[in-house]
Amino acid sequence: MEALRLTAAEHNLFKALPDILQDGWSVEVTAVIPESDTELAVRARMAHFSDPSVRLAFDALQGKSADPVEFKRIVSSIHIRSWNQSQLVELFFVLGVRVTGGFMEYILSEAKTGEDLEALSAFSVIRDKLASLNAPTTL
Amino acid sequence: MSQDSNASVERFPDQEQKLLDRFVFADREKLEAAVGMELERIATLARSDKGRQELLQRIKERANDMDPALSQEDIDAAARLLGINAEQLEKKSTFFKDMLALPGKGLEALKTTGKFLANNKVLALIALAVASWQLPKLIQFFAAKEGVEAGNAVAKAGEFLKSFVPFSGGTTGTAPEVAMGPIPGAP
Repeated sequence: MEALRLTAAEHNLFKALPDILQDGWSVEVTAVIPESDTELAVRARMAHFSDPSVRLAFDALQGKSADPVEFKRIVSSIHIRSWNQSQLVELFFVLGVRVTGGFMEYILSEAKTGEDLEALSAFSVIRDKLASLNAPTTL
Repeated sequence: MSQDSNASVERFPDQEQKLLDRFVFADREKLEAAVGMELERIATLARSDKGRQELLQRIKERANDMDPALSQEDIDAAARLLGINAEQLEKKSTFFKDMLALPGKGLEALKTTGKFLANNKVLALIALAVASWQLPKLIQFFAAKEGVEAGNAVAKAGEFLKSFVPFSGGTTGTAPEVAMGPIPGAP
């Protein structure tokens, strides 16, 4: 049985899932320390993305491509499968504990398959590693 | 889509935005050159009151070189930001090593989340919007497309996730310029 590390709120969402989705998982309830808003603002300014499709998406999102047709084309050009793993690490570091937890709650609220639970578990591993950075004894 | 539709919502005050833009450095080399001190030393000093005073003194000595228009209050804030910057650079290095270590749970988790985001592009798009501090703009863009299935999905997921985002009202017009690597084939 695999363990999911969830907050109390997430655990409540998990308990509301159909039994078939809960099967095979145990839950460890955990508390996580989030980053401050200033720390996240600093992280955003430290971010470095080298993937061209990420750069295009950022430009589009920041209003440098206001044309809706162009925006749609740019969005469709985001090829996450081609990202190297360091791009994802960079993205999660910028997102931080709270947003990564937000994705977990969203998955829990929409989960329909075992793959969704596998994804939830993976997000929880990353959230744990992010949260460990915020523990007072980390550095 | 209105470009100034978020203008009235809460965000970092303009002066703090300027300090963030001016006194946050993307990598160790740039920070060390600006402060004239090794990153580890900056981070250590930033963790204690006495250390922060020493860091503040260093920043004061170099402040005019950095920006002659800084007020005393700005210099204090800059010293605080540089300390946070140093800590976050250390944490980023630790996070990268931990996530990419072989073999490791982090790497497996990256593969799974990468696959999940590739199969759920709406969430990937939202993640990028959050990272670029443009989630409200994305929600508005798609919410306006009534009857469009993908648009509704983005708006719904975006609204759900908005409550988890710092300054979720948005930072339109003041988003950080994200450092980018060279684009192959770009002029």
